[in-house]
Amino acid sequence: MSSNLRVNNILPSVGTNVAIGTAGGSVTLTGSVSGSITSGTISGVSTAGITTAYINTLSGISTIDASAAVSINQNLVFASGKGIDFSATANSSGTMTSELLSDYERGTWTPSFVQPATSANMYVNNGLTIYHADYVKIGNLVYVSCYIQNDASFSYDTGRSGTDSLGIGGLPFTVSNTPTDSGYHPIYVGYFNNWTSWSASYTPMGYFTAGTNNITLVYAVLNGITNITATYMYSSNSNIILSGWYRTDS
Amino acid sequence: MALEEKSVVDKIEVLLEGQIQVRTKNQVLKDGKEIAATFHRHVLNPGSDLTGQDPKVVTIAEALWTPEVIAAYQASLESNNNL
Repeated sequence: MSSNLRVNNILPSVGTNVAIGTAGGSVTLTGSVSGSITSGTISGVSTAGITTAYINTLSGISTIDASAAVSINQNLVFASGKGIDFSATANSSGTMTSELLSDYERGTWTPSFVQPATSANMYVNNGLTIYHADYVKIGNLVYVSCYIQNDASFSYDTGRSGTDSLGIGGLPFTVSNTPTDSGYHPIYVGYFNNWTSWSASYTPMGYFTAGTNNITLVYAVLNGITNITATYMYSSNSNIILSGWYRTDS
Repeated sequence: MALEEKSVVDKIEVLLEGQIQVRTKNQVLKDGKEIAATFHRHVLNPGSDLTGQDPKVVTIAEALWTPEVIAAYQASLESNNNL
């Protein structure tokens, strides 16, 4: 048949198929296909000869079974709690808890000095300079880093004193409150300077405090650790650079 | 061509123990259309000072943070020995 056949609607009966073309032949689309596929499955479609597939909108399609890479020129948007499921890949010998990558986000946060157990503000009128404080969240794993410095000697907030334990608050996500499942996570101090009465033998370190949005600062002593107290960061230009990974439940 | 900066609280998340995670979206708009954006986050624990918080966050916190919720949150911290 050499002439064209124009069909507005093809409505097969339930359970029947519409076949276009013949075995060994092909169907050529010289124009565009508009409208949407609202349900069902596309399967068994040969991608041979399709070098790049640009797909703007896929609506209601449950399965795409293709043997070639698919290129998408828009964002791939997941519903909340959904993501990329890696369960088809081989697992490690350890206990696997999840193979769904369901979140990614990056941004900034605002560090502040706090009492780590209570989140109470430690200093007032401190002129804290935040050179840098950002985060990256991948799944439920959060990476934070910061570089902060006080510009002038601090005054202690009401009820606080130099002997109080010192922490850094303002973390962008709450630290998981089930550390026996999600782990205990340390921070890494890469630089610090101008701390008051700091001994050369002290090594600052710390950890993310479960159930809070705080970091507890400690230093190593013989066979253990001692809390870093508020007096050490009291003087002008005292500063710290730190980073670390922790788990959140959100 | 008008450029405008705008900050909106675009996500409020309530956790099981009553913590409220707040995400602020800082946008740059060109003729009313977003051309760039960054996120900033902070967390409010049960009983936190709500001064300066977004009204929607305050409404949620005031409804959520009963004395029982605050007490339970504090007890959960102590159960972990503040580690």
